[in-house]
Amino acid sequence: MEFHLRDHTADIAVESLAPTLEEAFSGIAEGLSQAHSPNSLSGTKKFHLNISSESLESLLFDFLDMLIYERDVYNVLPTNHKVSITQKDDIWNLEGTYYGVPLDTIESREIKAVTYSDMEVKKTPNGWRLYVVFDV
Amino acid sequence: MTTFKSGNISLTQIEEFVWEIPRSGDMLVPARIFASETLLEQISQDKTLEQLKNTASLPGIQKYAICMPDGHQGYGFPVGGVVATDANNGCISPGGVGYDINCGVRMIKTNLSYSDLRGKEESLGKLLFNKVPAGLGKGGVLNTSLEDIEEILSLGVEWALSNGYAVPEDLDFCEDRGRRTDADPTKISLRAKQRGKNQVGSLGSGNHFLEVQRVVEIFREDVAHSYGLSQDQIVILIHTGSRGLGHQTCTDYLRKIEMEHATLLSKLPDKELAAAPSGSQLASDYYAAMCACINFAWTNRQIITYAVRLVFEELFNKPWEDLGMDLLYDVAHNIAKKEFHMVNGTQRELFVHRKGATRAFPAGNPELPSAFKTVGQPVIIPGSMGSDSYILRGGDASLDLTFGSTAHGAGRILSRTKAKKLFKASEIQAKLKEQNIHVTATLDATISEEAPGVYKDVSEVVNISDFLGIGDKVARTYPVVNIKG
Repeated sequence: MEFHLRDHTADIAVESLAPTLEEAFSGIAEGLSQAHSPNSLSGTKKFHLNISSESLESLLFDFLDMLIYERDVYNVLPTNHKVSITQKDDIWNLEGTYYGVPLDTIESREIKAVTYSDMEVKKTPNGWRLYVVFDV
Repeated sequence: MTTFKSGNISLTQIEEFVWEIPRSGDMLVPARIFASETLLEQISQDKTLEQLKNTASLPGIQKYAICMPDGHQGYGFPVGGVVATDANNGCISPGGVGYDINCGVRMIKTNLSYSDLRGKEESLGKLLFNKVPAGLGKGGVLNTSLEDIEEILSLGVEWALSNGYAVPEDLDFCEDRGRRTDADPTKISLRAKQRGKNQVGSLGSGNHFLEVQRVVEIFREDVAHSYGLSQDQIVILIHTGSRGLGHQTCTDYLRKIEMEHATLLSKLPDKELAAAPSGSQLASDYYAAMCACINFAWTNRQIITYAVRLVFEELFNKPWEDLGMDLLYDVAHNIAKKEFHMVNGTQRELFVHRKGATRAFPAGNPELPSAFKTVGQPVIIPGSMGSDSYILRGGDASLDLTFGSTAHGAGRILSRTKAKKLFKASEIQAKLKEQNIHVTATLDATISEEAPGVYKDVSEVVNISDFLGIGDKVARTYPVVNIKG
């Protein structure tokens, strides 16, 4: 899995490329962590997520929104992401974990929100390409 | 006829500094860009024009979709955009307000002159940095409970007044006296309230800042006098918004609209344009929620004002009242508001979306506080941390040309990733210090990303506003001490 922070005039975009959808989702989340703090950080306290959405795009949106919400409420920067994704009928489900770095131990910038702008969840010959713009 | 081409978008010059993209495809009205050719070239470097064209397809849009001279690419809507839709037969779009609902600026005046502050800049920077939380996870000036948040959402700055963090005059010099009465806290999710709980009196990061400035030039003596501004005077600028509470509210409503108004959304060219039709339950819920976030943001800026006043009291060993620390005005630049405007000779109620644009009502407008009725409202246009900022007054032409609006800042031209490669924080800081500007930030990366070189020339932006008569230049200020999140 690889992710890159991409150019955007005012905000930050993250591109993630991976052989599997799950790894590509984790890649975007790692990009979100790096957009907060350029340092390589690793949390110690484990957190669990369970999210259901009506499409893959909205699942990605809701997943990233949940990470930003939990960051503010639990006061941790989510890092070391792992997810598993399943589909039943028209509902996509994500179960995930991350390790939180207490915000009072680091200097970090705030990412305001995830956006749908230019969002891509695309199957490619080599796996998956995800692209997300975050509001800074 | 002068024309300008950007990719497959052609613009025609209507008159000096006014460009038009004619209607085509799904556009319901033309789009207008208020810019010089130099600024237009910068604006056309990214997706601003394409995004502007997209907004012209929103149901009920009036006259034209507008891009200000400081416009740049955003998400869905361009930043620097003004979109007015019919309040009764159109729509309201959370994306047209932005995630940071009521992001805005306020200016506090002082009776200090630059010479009073010389030699104290370092100490002032440290005191402000310690007193006003900036960055992420640093809490707020106040420790608030969920009950406090409910009251803030409903009462706005009146809450601050009742709790000793404001004086009555602070309400006089804030739009809507610091309280949108259409606010309904029950329309805000618990998640949003939880995010706001620890953030009352906090700057956040990105382009938000707290800056102590000096007045270096006066353009209109009479107006400056009415505003209480004079040469060499020290003033303070606060730039922040509704923090996590507002971000979550925008996100929540974007998702609700996506699920409930899928048919309308499927006709729009970008998902971030998600809009609730006028008269729908979601339109009224979003408006009430947005107004509550607006109240929260005003209170946030008020609580920072309170903290700044305490810092100046400590540094100058005088009560803040004796230092003349009165509010000039508080202006929002991410907002939607029900306003009446003349369209083709008829007065109509509109949702005026200002996303990265400032209300600029001229003299005589009944909405203005009595102090500004005869001169027009102050408009505050911040530059970057190494350049001038401007105080304008609402111009006579604004109601006709821009639904009573003007620009909101310098507007970015360079991405954050490129800025980090080009500018080294320590070098920027040293260079600014040579210009007697003291910058403190939580992260080096923020200094690089917000370096003066990433912004357009703010002077050119305000000169266009002044030329068009949508916002007239009153005074120019220059940074002395800057705190970045």
